[in-house]
Amino acid sequence: MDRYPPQPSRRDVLRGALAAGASAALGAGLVSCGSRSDVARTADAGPWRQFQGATLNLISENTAPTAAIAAHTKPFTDLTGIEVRIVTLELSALVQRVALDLASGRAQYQVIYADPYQVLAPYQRGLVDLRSLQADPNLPDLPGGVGDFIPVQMDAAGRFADPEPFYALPYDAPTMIWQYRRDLFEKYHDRMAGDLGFDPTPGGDRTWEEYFRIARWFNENAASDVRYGTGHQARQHDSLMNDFSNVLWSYGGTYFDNGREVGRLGTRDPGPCRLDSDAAIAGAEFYNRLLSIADPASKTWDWDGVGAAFRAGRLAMCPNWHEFAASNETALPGRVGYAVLPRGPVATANMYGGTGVGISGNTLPHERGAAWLFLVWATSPETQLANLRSEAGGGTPTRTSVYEMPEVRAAERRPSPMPNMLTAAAVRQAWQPDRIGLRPKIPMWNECNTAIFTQLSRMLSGAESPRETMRSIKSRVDRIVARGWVA
Amino acid sequence: MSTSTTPPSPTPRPAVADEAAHGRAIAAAPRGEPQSPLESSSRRTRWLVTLLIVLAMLWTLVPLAWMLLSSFKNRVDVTASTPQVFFTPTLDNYRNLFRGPNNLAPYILHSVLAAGISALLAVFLGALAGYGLARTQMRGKRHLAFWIISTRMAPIAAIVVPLFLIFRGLGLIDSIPGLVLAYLTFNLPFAIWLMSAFFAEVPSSLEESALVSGCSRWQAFYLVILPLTKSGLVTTFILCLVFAWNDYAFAVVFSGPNSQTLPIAASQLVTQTGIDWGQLTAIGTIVVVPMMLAGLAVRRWLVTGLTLGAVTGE
Repeated sequence: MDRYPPQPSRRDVLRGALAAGASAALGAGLVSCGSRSDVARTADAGPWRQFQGATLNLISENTAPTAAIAAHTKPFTDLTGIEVRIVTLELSALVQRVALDLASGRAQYQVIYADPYQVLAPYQRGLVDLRSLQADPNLPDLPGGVGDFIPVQMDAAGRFADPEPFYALPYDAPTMIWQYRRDLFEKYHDRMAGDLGFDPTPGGDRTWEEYFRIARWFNENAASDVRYGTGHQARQHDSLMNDFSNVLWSYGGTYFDNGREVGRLGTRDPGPCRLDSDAAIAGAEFYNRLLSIADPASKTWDWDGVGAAFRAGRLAMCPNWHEFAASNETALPGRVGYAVLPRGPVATANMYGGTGVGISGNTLPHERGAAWLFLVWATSPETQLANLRSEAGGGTPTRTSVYEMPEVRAAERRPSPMPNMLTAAAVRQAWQPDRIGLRPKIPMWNECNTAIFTQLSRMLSGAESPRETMRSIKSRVDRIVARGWVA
Repeated sequence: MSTSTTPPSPTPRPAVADEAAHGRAIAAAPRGEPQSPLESSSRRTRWLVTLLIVLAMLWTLVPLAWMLLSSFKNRVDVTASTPQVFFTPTLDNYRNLFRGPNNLAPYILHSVLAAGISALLAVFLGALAGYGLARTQMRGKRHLAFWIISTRMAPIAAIVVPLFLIFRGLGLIDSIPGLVLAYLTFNLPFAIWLMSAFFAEVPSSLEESALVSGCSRWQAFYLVILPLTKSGLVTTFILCLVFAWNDYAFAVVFSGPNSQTLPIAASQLVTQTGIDWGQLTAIGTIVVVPMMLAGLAVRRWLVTGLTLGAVTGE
């Protein structure tokens, strides 16, 4: 390069860089000087209008209840004068965003969708103990009190480690149940019963072994109606852990000692992993055998995949989340039945995947009050009923009182204006304390989960035997738990 | 180049025309006449190249065409187990995107503002800094240039947390300026590096002439050098725009209810109980089409820009 005057010298460059840096720092300093202010409170405006003019941000996973809430926030705004803005994200993105928000010391999101395993357990210290708001005389009470929430869901979705404080209110309640082609079970009932030697009608009396034999029967005898007897959400994903856990628990296996309590209330120190037990290995061996006769595409499906295959008429039955009922009824109206999952040699288990809504601990006092109003409204019986009716989707209620409403009871039968309620009989059984399947609620569950579904996927591909798989998961989970959790 | 079946050309022809004539000559060769190994090899190469081009086109165009087609399908056709090529088109997916609480219009506005402003700023600042880098002679210049581009080498995940804390302190979370700054953080080193290579291509004698003619350094830069690097400016702008327009990683962390962009809107269609493929492909089309049109509109400069600077070694 030719030299020519007047060329910027090294000194000029450094001087310019210094000036630019100083300007940026000054600008940043000025911007950050602005302090954060709480929302205004009008004390004499009544409990529901006292924070009018406030704006709340809710961060949630893209779920049916949130879609319904997002479509119907106007009644809340009319009631309180508070505007609600909702951000929906895929769960892993939500967890990342919530972790950053809680760590930053400022609440951009006052209301948080608190997944019990990925948000509540690891970040419980960043959430408000809602007892303080429930006891505040200036704030409205929870209609029906905490006791109106289905007890096992209140513990699983709202509490952590301690039975007293609660950090979230149960907000949705997807639960895995047996979904089957009712029309095909009716069509082949007598032949199947004759061939198999038992009544194949799905229900809590069936065993996993019988489920296996029914699936194989469909494979061999009903090719004109369905391609496979069963399909599963067995992709290398959270869904695989969910699908496998139903079998594991029903065979008497458990992730940790005292598994029901570790699932229901949670703990920071679950002790050694127990997946190397004979019962766990027997469960893994059965699951491996079951998947060997399932639709081979099962290994590529999560819950959406198996749900879509079922709706497309490819499968006679599958275990899946009960909130898929609404889309089943659209694709196969009147042709799908729902039952609790089969029992194993020791127990029966239906994986619960519900969540709660909580309040960020970084909120300022009046913001916190406004957020409480939203929680009370969003989980109220009236809102849960409106969600059931919503065309935008809607989940299923988490309150006992809603299931007792006459119109909700009536919707349990076809034709139903609330198709998710067609599963009510099955999920009511599934939510019994001895039937509900609760994965470990421990802060490091996310990592453990990854180890579990990764190794299970290797088992299904034939790279490891069930025994080796259970042992390798135990070894990895023990290492993860031993590292502990700091939040 | 000539063969026994084509007479020597009386005038020199461009290489491309010569190649074409060669191809025609081979094709016109009598069937019974034996071909030389060279001709046979040339034909095979030609077929192979054609095949590769066709495969490359299929690879790039089929997904786009499929996305476009799917965006006009109804819910049944889009999820049919047998792919439907012939169907009754519907605009429902596009209509639904602009209805209800998740109206797409604000997302489009946020994307246009964040991507557009950040790309303009990246080009403006990149041109100034790149010019300085290209023309300055100082010790450690190469180290400085490498340090600038090395900031682009870190994965986004590695810088997201510190940036989030800084942005939180500055009140930039959930704001368009915050997104602009985030994109600028990532695009500016790239813009500086790229523009520096373009400026290095321009002979410094041009500036000397301008300075001798009475221009100030700024005038020489603005009136003489910048117009000569138009293709570089366009290339840099488009590449920065495409990055910011398509970005999900920064947007998912730094945006909020007031600043969510199109990729976030697309991700919201992947829900716990299913994926709305019709609307997802409609958003995909809305995301892709403007960038394709922008690329086509400036393709002349883009092609020049992408090849210019390749030989300078800067």
